[in-house]
Amino acid sequence: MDTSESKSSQSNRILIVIAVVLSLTAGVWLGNQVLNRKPSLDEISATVLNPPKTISDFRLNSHRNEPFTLDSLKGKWSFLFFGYTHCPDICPTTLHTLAQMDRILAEYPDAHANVQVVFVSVDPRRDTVQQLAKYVPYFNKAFVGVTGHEDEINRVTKQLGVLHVRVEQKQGQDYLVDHSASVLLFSPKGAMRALFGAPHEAQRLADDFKKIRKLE
Amino acid sequence: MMRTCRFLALICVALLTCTAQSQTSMLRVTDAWIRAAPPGAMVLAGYMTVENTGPEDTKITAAESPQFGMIELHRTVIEDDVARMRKQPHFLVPAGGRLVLAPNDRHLMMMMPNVPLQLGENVTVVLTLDNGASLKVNAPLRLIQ
Repeated sequence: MDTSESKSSQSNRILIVIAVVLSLTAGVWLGNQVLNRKPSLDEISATVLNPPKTISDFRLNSHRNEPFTLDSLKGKWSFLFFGYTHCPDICPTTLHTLAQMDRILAEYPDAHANVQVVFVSVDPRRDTVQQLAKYVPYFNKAFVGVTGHEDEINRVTKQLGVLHVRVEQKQGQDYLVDHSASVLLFSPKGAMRALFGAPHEAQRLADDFKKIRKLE
Repeated sequence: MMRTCRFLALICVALLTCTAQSQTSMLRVTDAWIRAAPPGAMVLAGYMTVENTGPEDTKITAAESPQFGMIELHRTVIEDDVARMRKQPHFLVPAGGRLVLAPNDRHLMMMMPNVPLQLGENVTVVLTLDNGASLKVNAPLRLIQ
Protein backbone atom coordinates (compact mmCIF):
# COMPACT_ATOMS: atom_id res chain seq x y z
CA MET A 1 0.00 0.00 0.00
CA ASP A 2 2.75 2.35 0.98
CA THR A 3 4.77 1.41 -2.08
CA SER A 4 1.87 1.97 -4.50
CA GLU A 5 1.14 5.34 -2.91
CA SER A 6 4.72 6.46 -3.22
CA LYS A 7 4.76 5.18 -6.83
CA SER A 8 1.68 7.17 -7.71
CA SER A 9 3.04 10.32 -6.07
CA GLN A 10 6.29 9.79 -7.99
CA SER A 11 4.48 9.49 -11.29
CA ASN A 12 2.45 12.56 -10.36
CA ARG A 13 5.67 14.43 -9.79
CA ILE A 14 6.98 13.28 -13.16
CA LEU A 15 3.77 14.44 -14.80
CA ILE A 16 4.09 17.83 -13.15
CA VAL A 17 7.69 18.16 -14.31
CA ILE A 18 6.68 17.20 -17.86
CA ALA A 19 3.82 19.72 -17.76
CA VAL A 20 6.15 22.47 -16.53
CA VAL A 21 8.76 21.67 -19.19
CA LEU A 22 6.10 21.56 -21.89
CA SER A 23 4.55 24.85 -20.89
CA LEU A 24 7.97 26.50 -20.63
CA THR A 25 8.86 25.25 -24.11
CA ALA A 26 5.54 26.46 -25.44
CA GLY A 27 6.09 29.82 -23.77
CA VAL A 28 9.55 30.23 -25.27
CA TRP A 29 8.27 29.12 -28.67
CA LEU A 30 5.35 31.55 -28.52
CA GLY A 31 7.62 34.31 -27.32
CA ASN A 32 9.94 33.67 -30.24
CA GLN A 33 7.00 33.67 -32.63
CA VAL A 34 5.93 37.05 -31.30
CA LEU A 35 9.45 38.51 -31.38
CA ASN A 36 10.41 37.17 -34.79
CA ARG A 37 7.13 37.49 -36.59
CA LYS A 38 7.02 39.79 -39.54
CA PRO A 39 5.29 43.00 -38.48
CA SER A 40 2.27 44.06 -40.49
CA LEU A 41 2.58 47.28 -42.47
CA ASP A 42 -0.16 48.85 -40.35
CA GLU A 43 2.23 48.89 -37.41
CA ILE A 44 4.75 50.99 -39.35
CA SER A 45 4.16 54.71 -39.74
CA ALA A 46 6.72 55.06 -42.54
CA THR A 47 5.71 54.34 -46.14
CA VAL A 48 7.17 50.95 -47.02
CA LEU A 49 7.92 50.39 -50.71
CA ASN A 50 6.83 47.07 -52.15
CA PRO A 51 8.72 46.19 -54.18
CA PRO A 52 11.72 48.27 -53.11
CA LYS A 53 12.76 50.97 -55.60
CA THR A 54 16.00 50.25 -57.40
CA ILE A 55 18.04 53.06 -58.92
CA SER A 56 20.86 53.20 -61.45
CA ASP A 57 24.46 53.80 -60.39
CA PHE A 58 25.81 57.27 -59.60
CA ARG A 59 29.21 58.79 -58.83
CA LEU A 60 29.43 61.17 -55.91
CA ASN A 61 32.04 61.91 -53.23
CA SER A 62 31.93 61.41 -49.49
CA HIS A 63 33.16 64.07 -47.04
CA ARG A 64 36.19 61.79 -46.55
CA ASN A 65 36.93 62.44 -50.22
CA GLU A 66 36.19 58.87 -51.20
CA PRO A 67 33.90 57.85 -54.06
CA PHE A 68 30.30 57.36 -52.99
CA THR A 69 28.36 55.21 -55.45
CA LEU A 70 25.44 52.81 -55.44
CA ASP A 71 27.86 50.20 -54.08
CA SER A 72 28.35 52.39 -50.98
CA LEU A 73 24.69 51.76 -50.14
CA LYS A 74 24.99 47.98 -50.46
CA GLY A 75 25.51 45.70 -47.48
CA LYS A 76 24.14 48.34 -45.10
CA TRP A 77 20.86 49.87 -44.06
CA SER A 78 21.20 53.52 -45.10
CA PHE A 79 19.17 56.50 -43.97
CA LEU A 80 19.43 59.28 -46.57
CA PHE A 81 18.54 62.89 -45.93
CA PHE A 82 18.84 65.58 -48.59
CA GLY A 83 19.67 69.13 -47.50
CA TYR A 84 22.37 71.81 -47.50
CA THR A 85 24.72 73.31 -44.97
CA HIS A 86 23.51 76.92 -45.42
CA CYS A 87 20.13 75.78 -44.07
CA PRO A 88 20.02 76.85 -40.41
CA ASP A 89 16.78 75.28 -39.25
CA ILE A 90 15.37 72.06 -40.68
CA CYS A 91 18.65 70.47 -41.82
CA PRO A 92 20.45 70.62 -38.45
CA THR A 93 17.18 69.67 -36.73
CA THR A 94 16.81 66.56 -38.89
CA LEU A 95 20.49 65.60 -38.53
CA HIS A 96 20.15 66.02 -34.77
CA THR A 97 17.05 63.78 -34.80
CA LEU A 98 18.92 61.16 -36.84
CA ALA A 99 21.78 61.28 -34.31
CA GLN A 100 19.23 60.73 -31.51
CA MET A 101 17.76 57.82 -33.45
CA ASP A 102 21.24 56.35 -33.82
CA ARG A 103 21.75 56.54 -30.04
CA ILE A 104 18.42 54.77 -29.47
CA LEU A 105 19.32 52.02 -31.96
CA ALA A 106 22.73 51.59 -30.35
CA GLU A 107 20.93 50.04 -27.37
CA TYR A 108 19.77 47.21 -29.65
CA PRO A 109 22.88 45.67 -31.22
CA ASP A 110 20.80 43.61 -33.70
CA ALA A 111 19.01 46.69 -34.96
CA HIS A 112 22.11 48.89 -34.94
CA ALA A 113 24.33 46.56 -36.97
CA ASN A 114 25.19 47.81 -40.46
CA VAL A 115 23.41 51.13 -40.22
CA GLN A 116 24.68 54.30 -41.88
CA VAL A 117 23.27 57.81 -42.02
CA VAL A 118 24.00 59.78 -45.19
CA PHE A 119 23.50 63.52 -45.69
CA VAL A 120 23.32 64.27 -49.42
CA SER A 121 23.85 67.92 -50.35
CA VAL A 122 21.41 69.46 -52.80
CA ASP A 123 23.66 72.54 -52.91
CA PRO A 124 26.93 71.26 -54.41
CA ARG A 125 27.94 74.81 -55.43
CA ARG A 126 28.53 75.76 -51.81
CA ASP A 127 28.77 72.32 -50.21
CA THR A 128 32.24 71.20 -51.15
CA VAL A 129 33.83 68.04 -49.75
CA GLN A 130 35.73 70.29 -47.29
CA GLN A 131 32.57 72.06 -46.17
CA LEU A 132 30.80 68.74 -45.54
CA ALA A 133 33.88 67.41 -43.71
CA LYS A 134 33.49 70.24 -41.20
CA TYR A 135 29.71 70.03 -41.00
CA VAL A 136 28.48 66.43 -41.01
CA PRO A 137 30.70 64.71 -38.36
CA TYR A 138 29.59 67.39 -35.88
CA PHE A 139 26.28 65.53 -35.52
CA ASN A 140 27.77 62.04 -35.35
CA LYS A 141 31.29 61.00 -36.31
CA ALA A 142 29.97 58.03 -38.28
CA PHE A 143 27.57 60.08 -40.44
CA VAL A 144 28.57 60.41 -44.08
CA GLY A 145 28.31 63.67 -46.02
CA VAL A 146 27.93 63.31 -49.78
CA THR A 147 28.30 65.88 -52.54
CA GLY A 148 29.42 65.95 -56.14
CA HIS A 149 28.62 67.21 -59.59
CA GLU A 150 25.21 68.83 -59.88
CA ASP A 151 24.20 66.50 -62.73
CA GLU A 152 25.02 63.41 -60.67
CA ILE A 153 23.04 64.71 -57.67
CA ASN A 154 20.11 65.46 -59.96
CA ARG A 155 20.34 61.95 -61.39
CA VAL A 156 19.92 60.49 -57.90
CA THR A 157 17.20 62.88 -56.72
CA LYS A 158 15.15 62.52 -59.92
CA GLN A 159 15.08 58.75 -59.61
CA LEU A 160 13.99 59.00 -55.99
CA GLY A 161 11.46 61.78 -56.48
CA VAL A 162 13.40 64.05 -54.13
CA LEU A 163 12.61 67.67 -54.91
CA HIS A 164 15.07 70.52 -54.61
CA VAL A 165 14.74 73.98 -56.08
CA ARG A 166 17.09 76.94 -55.76
CA VAL A 167 15.25 80.07 -54.65
CA GLU A 168 17.08 83.26 -55.56
CA GLN A 169 16.95 86.12 -53.10
CA LYS A 170 17.38 89.84 -53.62
CA GLN A 171 20.65 90.89 -55.23
CA GLY A 172 23.70 90.33 -53.11
CA GLN A 173 21.98 87.82 -50.87
CA ASP A 174 22.60 84.11 -50.67
CA TYR A 175 20.05 81.86 -52.31
CA LEU A 176 17.92 79.39 -50.39
CA VAL A 177 17.08 75.85 -51.44
CA ASP A 178 13.61 74.32 -51.06
CA HIS A 179 14.08 70.63 -50.59
CA SER A 180 12.33 67.41 -49.72
CA ALA A 181 12.11 66.93 -45.96
CA SER A 182 11.75 63.13 -46.07
CA VAL A 183 14.26 60.61 -44.81
CA LEU A 184 14.71 57.69 -47.19
CA LEU A 185 15.70 54.22 -46.04
CA PHE A 186 17.74 51.96 -48.30
CA SER A 187 18.03 48.23 -47.67
CA PRO A 188 21.37 46.39 -47.85
CA LYS A 189 20.45 45.46 -51.44
CA GLY A 190 20.92 49.12 -52.32
CA ALA A 191 17.23 49.72 -53.03
CA MET A 192 14.91 52.25 -51.41
CA ARG A 193 12.76 50.34 -48.91
CA ALA A 194 10.88 53.05 -47.03
CA LEU A 195 10.18 56.76 -46.79
CA PHE A 196 9.78 58.64 -43.52
CA GLY A 197 7.78 61.86 -43.91
CA ALA A 198 8.55 65.01 -41.88
CA PRO A 199 8.34 66.07 -39.11
CA HIS A 200 10.71 63.43 -37.80
CA GLU A 201 10.85 61.98 -34.32
CA ALA A 202 13.82 59.87 -33.19
CA GLN A 203 11.87 57.21 -31.28
CA ARG A 204 9.41 56.70 -34.12
CA LEU A 205 12.22 56.42 -36.69
CA ALA A 206 13.96 53.81 -34.50
CA ASP A 207 10.76 51.81 -33.83
CA ASP A 208 9.77 51.80 -37.50
CA PHE A 209 13.25 50.81 -38.57
CA LYS A 210 13.37 47.84 -36.19
CA LYS A 211 10.10 46.59 -37.72
CA ILE A 212 11.19 47.23 -41.31
CA ARG A 213 14.39 45.22 -40.73
CA LYS A 214 12.22 42.23 -39.84
CA LEU A 215 10.36 42.44 -43.15
CA GLU A 216 13.49 41.34 -45.02
CA MET B 1 4.65 131.09 -32.57
CA MET B 2 7.73 129.26 -33.81
CA ARG B 3 8.70 128.56 -30.24
CA THR B 4 5.27 127.16 -29.35
CA CYS B 5 5.41 124.88 -32.38
CA ARG B 6 8.84 123.62 -31.45
CA PHE B 7 7.67 123.08 -27.88
CA LEU B 8 4.61 121.14 -29.05
CA ALA B 9 6.76 119.06 -31.38
CA LEU B 10 9.10 118.23 -28.50
CA ILE B 11 6.16 117.17 -26.35
CA CYS B 12 4.90 114.99 -29.19
CA VAL B 13 8.31 113.32 -29.57
CA ALA B 14 8.51 112.81 -25.80
CA LEU B 15 5.02 111.31 -25.73
CA LEU B 16 5.78 109.00 -28.66
CA THR B 17 8.97 107.82 -27.01
CA CYS B 18 7.07 107.17 -23.80
CA THR B 19 4.45 105.11 -25.64
CA ALA B 20 7.13 103.18 -27.47
CA GLN B 21 8.98 102.49 -24.27
CA SER B 22 5.89 101.37 -22.41
CA GLN B 23 5.03 99.09 -25.33
CA THR B 24 8.54 97.60 -25.13
CA SER B 25 8.05 96.83 -21.47
CA MET B 26 4.87 94.98 -22.43
CA LEU B 27 7.00 92.48 -24.32
CA ARG B 28 8.71 89.81 -22.32
CA VAL B 29 11.27 87.54 -23.93
CA THR B 30 11.98 84.13 -22.44
CA ASP B 31 14.02 81.10 -23.48
CA ALA B 32 16.06 82.96 -26.09
CA TRP B 33 18.84 80.86 -27.57
CA ILE B 34 20.98 80.45 -30.63
CA ARG B 35 21.42 76.95 -31.93
CA ALA B 36 25.05 75.86 -31.79
CA ALA B 37 26.11 74.95 -35.31
CA PRO B 38 28.90 72.87 -36.83
CA PRO B 39 32.23 74.58 -37.51
CA GLY B 40 32.13 76.53 -40.74
CA ALA B 41 28.36 77.05 -40.63
CA MET B 42 27.67 80.43 -42.21
CA VAL B 43 24.06 80.56 -41.11
CA LEU B 44 22.68 79.97 -37.63
CA ALA B 45 19.18 80.07 -36.21
CA GLY B 46 17.86 81.99 -33.20
CA TYR B 47 14.78 81.03 -31.19
CA MET B 48 12.79 82.59 -28.34
CA THR B 49 9.35 83.14 -26.90
CA VAL B 50 7.98 86.70 -26.88
CA GLU B 51 4.98 87.44 -24.69
CA ASN B 52 2.88 90.54 -25.16
CA THR B 53 1.14 91.58 -21.94
CA GLY B 54 0.02 94.87 -23.48
CA PRO B 55 -3.27 95.80 -25.12
CA GLU B 56 -1.81 96.35 -28.60
CA ASP B 57 -0.55 93.98 -31.26
CA THR B 58 3.16 94.49 -31.81
CA LYS B 59 5.22 93.49 -34.80
CA ILE B 60 8.89 92.64 -34.85
CA THR B 61 10.04 94.11 -38.11
CA ALA B 62 13.78 93.51 -38.04
CA ALA B 63 16.61 92.11 -35.96
CA GLU B 64 20.32 92.75 -35.79
CA SER B 65 23.31 91.65 -33.79
CA PRO B 66 26.83 93.02 -33.46
CA GLN B 67 28.03 89.42 -33.75
CA PHE B 68 26.38 88.74 -37.13
CA GLY B 69 26.56 90.38 -40.54
CA MET B 70 22.83 90.16 -41.11
CA ILE B 71 19.67 88.73 -39.55
CA GLU B 72 16.43 87.97 -41.35
CA LEU B 73 13.05 86.87 -40.05
CA HIS B 74 12.29 83.44 -41.49
CA ARG B 75 9.79 80.65 -41.32
CA THR B 76 10.21 77.00 -42.26
CA VAL B 77 7.10 75.53 -43.81
CA ILE B 78 6.80 71.87 -44.70
CA GLU B 79 4.20 71.43 -47.44
CA ASP B 80 3.72 68.26 -49.48
CA ASP B 81 6.91 67.01 -47.91
CA VAL B 82 8.95 69.91 -49.22
CA ALA B 83 10.68 72.16 -46.69
CA ARG B 84 10.55 75.78 -47.69
CA MET B 85 12.23 78.58 -45.83
CA ARG B 86 10.62 81.92 -46.44
CA LYS B 87 11.59 85.42 -45.40
CA GLN B 88 8.85 87.06 -43.35
CA PRO B 89 8.19 90.84 -43.46
CA HIS B 90 7.48 90.76 -39.73
CA PHE B 91 6.63 88.53 -36.78
CA LEU B 92 3.37 89.42 -35.02
CA VAL B 93 3.21 89.34 -31.25
CA PRO B 94 -0.55 89.56 -30.64
CA ALA B 95 -1.92 91.63 -27.75
CA GLY B 96 -2.23 89.35 -24.73
CA GLY B 97 -0.65 86.53 -26.70
CA ARG B 98 2.74 85.28 -27.63
CA LEU B 99 5.08 84.54 -30.48
CA VAL B 100 7.11 81.35 -30.41
CA LEU B 101 10.25 81.05 -32.49
CA ALA B 102 11.17 77.34 -32.56
CA PRO B 103 12.96 74.71 -34.68
CA ASN B 104 11.12 73.81 -37.91
CA ASP B 105 9.01 76.95 -37.58
CA ARG B 106 9.58 80.69 -37.28
CA HIS B 107 13.17 81.63 -36.47
CA LEU B 108 15.79 84.31 -36.81
CA MET B 109 18.09 83.44 -39.66
CA MET B 110 21.46 84.72 -38.50
CA MET B 111 23.99 85.07 -41.27
CA MET B 112 27.73 85.66 -41.45
CA PRO B 113 28.93 85.29 -37.85
CA ASN B 114 31.79 87.74 -37.29
CA VAL B 115 33.77 85.28 -35.20
CA PRO B 116 33.23 81.63 -34.32
CA LEU B 117 30.96 81.46 -31.26
CA GLN B 118 31.57 79.23 -28.26
CA LEU B 119 28.95 77.15 -26.45
CA GLY B 120 27.35 79.21 -23.71
CA GLU B 121 28.48 82.50 -25.23
CA ASN B 122 25.86 85.23 -25.16
CA VAL B 123 24.68 86.70 -28.43
CA THR B 124 23.11 90.15 -28.31
CA VAL B 125 20.10 90.51 -30.57
CA VAL B 126 18.28 93.80 -30.98
CA LEU B 127 14.70 93.48 -32.20
CA THR B 128 13.12 96.45 -33.97
CA LEU B 129 9.42 96.91 -33.24
CA ASP B 130 6.82 98.54 -35.48
CA ASN B 131 6.20 101.26 -32.90
CA GLY B 132 9.73 102.51 -33.36
CA ALA B 133 11.04 101.00 -30.14
CA SER B 134 13.65 98.33 -29.95
CA LEU B 135 14.20 95.42 -27.61
CA LYS B 136 17.56 94.04 -26.60
CA VAL B 137 17.74 90.28 -26.05
CA ASN B 138 20.58 88.12 -24.76
CA ALA B 139 20.58 84.67 -26.29
CA PRO B 140 23.16 82.08 -25.29
CA LEU B 141 24.59 79.68 -27.85
CA ARG B 142 23.47 76.20 -26.90
CA LEU B 143 22.80 72.73 -28.26
CA ILE B 144 19.29 71.74 -29.24
CA GLN B 145 17.70 69.61 -26.52
